[in-house]
Amino acid sequence: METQIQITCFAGLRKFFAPQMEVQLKLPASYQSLIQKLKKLNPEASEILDNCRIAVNEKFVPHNEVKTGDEPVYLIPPSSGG
Amino acid sequence: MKHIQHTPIHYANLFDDFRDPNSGAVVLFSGEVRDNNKGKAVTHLEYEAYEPMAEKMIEEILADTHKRWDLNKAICVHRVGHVDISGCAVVVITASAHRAAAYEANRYIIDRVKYEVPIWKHEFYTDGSSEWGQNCDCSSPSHPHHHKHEYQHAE
Repeated sequence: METQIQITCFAGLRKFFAPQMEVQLKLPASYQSLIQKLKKLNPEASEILDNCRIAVNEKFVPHNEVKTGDEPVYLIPPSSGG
Repeated sequence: MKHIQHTPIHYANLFDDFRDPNSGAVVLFSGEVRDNNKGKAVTHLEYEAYEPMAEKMIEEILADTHKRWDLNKAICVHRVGHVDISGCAVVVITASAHRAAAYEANRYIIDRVKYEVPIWKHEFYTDGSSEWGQNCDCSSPSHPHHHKHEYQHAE
């Protein structure tokens, strides 16, 4: 059974995706597999997706970590503050 | 103190409030909006942040800085929203007994804030186009390789 995951996209990612969207994912699954799924949804976003960090519960998670729950995911493109 | 601000940063006021009798050196860095970038004329910038994380991360960077240098005070405030040319996008102020610590710590804070904290600039140009900025442009010949990534990129 697939779980609905809420995803928030920031900055340059919004050229490719809505600011908020929902993706169906069969859990458990690595965050990398979520990235792969998003690349399939929009292959033009592949480069920026490869350079994104992923935040869950306001903490960065390694891409190879396995997601088991339906907590919202925040996709963080490379910073460009200052 | 909040580190993300939606209204103009008046750094002269911050600087005045910063003075303290133990500090022989106070260093202020202001990151300001240029009217050009990569050969294009810029009209203004708009900054966006993932605010809850940006607040926490700047707080952690300041805490790390205090562990590394003998500072009396350190602050960092970053704008979000519309910033005009010559407007202040980010300010870092550091104070120490002697100048070395204040200078070095100030550079350390701004470098980490630029490269690590989830804040993004959106540049708007006079030709009507716009582009999201990217600090971590390691392919650029002018890229200053003095910073180190404290976080993990995608494998």
